[in-house]
Amino acid sequence: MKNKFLTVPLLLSLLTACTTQSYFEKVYKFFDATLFGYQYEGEKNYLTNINDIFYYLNNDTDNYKAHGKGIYEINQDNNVHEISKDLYDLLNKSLIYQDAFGGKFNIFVGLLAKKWQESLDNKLVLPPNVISEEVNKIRNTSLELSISNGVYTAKRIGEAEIDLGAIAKGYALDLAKDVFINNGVNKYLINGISSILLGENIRNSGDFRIDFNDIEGKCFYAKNTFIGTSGTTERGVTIDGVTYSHIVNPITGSVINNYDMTYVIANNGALADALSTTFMISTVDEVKSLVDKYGAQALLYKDGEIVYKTEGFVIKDING
Amino acid sequence: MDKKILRNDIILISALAIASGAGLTTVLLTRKTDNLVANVYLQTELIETIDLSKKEDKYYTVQGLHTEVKIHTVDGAIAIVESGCPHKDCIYTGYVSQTNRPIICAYNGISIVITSTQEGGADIVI
Repeated sequence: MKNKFLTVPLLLSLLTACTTQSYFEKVYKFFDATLFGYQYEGEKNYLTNINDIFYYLNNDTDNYKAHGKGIYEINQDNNVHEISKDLYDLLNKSLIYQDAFGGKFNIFVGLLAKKWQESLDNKLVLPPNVISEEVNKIRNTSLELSISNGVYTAKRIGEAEIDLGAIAKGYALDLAKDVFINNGVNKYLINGISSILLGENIRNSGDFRIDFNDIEGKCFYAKNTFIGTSGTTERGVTIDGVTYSHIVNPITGSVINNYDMTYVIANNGALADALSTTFMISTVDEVKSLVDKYGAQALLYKDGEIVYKTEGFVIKDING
Repeated sequence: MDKKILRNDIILISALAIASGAGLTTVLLTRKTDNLVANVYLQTELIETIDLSKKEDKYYTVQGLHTEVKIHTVDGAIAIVESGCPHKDCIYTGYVSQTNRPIICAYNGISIVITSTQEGGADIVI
């Protein structure tokens, strides 16, 4: 008799397991964007822990509003400021990319980016003398980072303002990935639209199918990686037939970019974000050099054409 | 006695296996082919879940941060059709029927995300 009572719940539980599917989801409003988080396995919901990480990093990297110990405070003067370990690591990584990307990735574009934004909001092109003045400030600004007795500090030298908008969201996804991996969760997705963290999908052998908004009828498959995109499609402003973007070339001060969209697949979020922004103002040869150096995949798109694509960036027909 | 228990067990297991198989087959056969659901969020709170697979022509009104937001579903697609936001970007997004291509009204804190468990569709649109 005992056996019969064991068999019933066993079979019922098998049936239930076959027909139900549960997962966690959460919407985040940080980094001037909306991010959609999905955790497809595990008993505990780690999307809430990730919310806390995003919250603090968002405050640390906000260059428009004071939160106590962040970029806004560093931008106010040339004094030493105590900062969090995460912000220290992010600034350190940013400076490494700044050196390595041939000057086309620069965190000191903040003030110039603000001036361009104000100007473009009024459908005006920023005057050359203002651009020149701000580019000089960018050239003459640097950042000193230090750690002493477990205290992390940053000191800006110069007048240009720091803006981590091109890397902060990607770096936040790096921290989010750590939360999933450290807790044994392998099936997850955080879709921040221009910055995406992919774990494993619940179908397609773990692959996610990613369709392009701009490249009609094409898609690609990816898992366990990061995607960074940049472009003029969403935030570009056209004046007299010329499209101006929000991405500033720190060398020339121009916001006229080389491509309509850039797509990058890389093994960390900060890198994917930084590369996709940098590629918007890079030549194809410069892009080739950087993807080789970092083992990333890239696709450059302009005027309805794929200008360049690495071999590893495999795109397919949606109906193929 | 032991033989009787064993025979009864075999009968019971067989009966349950057939019943389970029949149940599972029923579930699979009756599963909707377009398994799309639109989740409507106010900030980070899920405030409405709309089953798009019903393909209903229906209006929903949700309260945003500043104004009411009117949502329309038709033929398995969803759109924001009225909002008191200044730029109306959410309305210009138009009707969406793809997964993970959100409609966002930043002014009112409203996001609409379509999700699917169906095989084969796009998971993300970039």
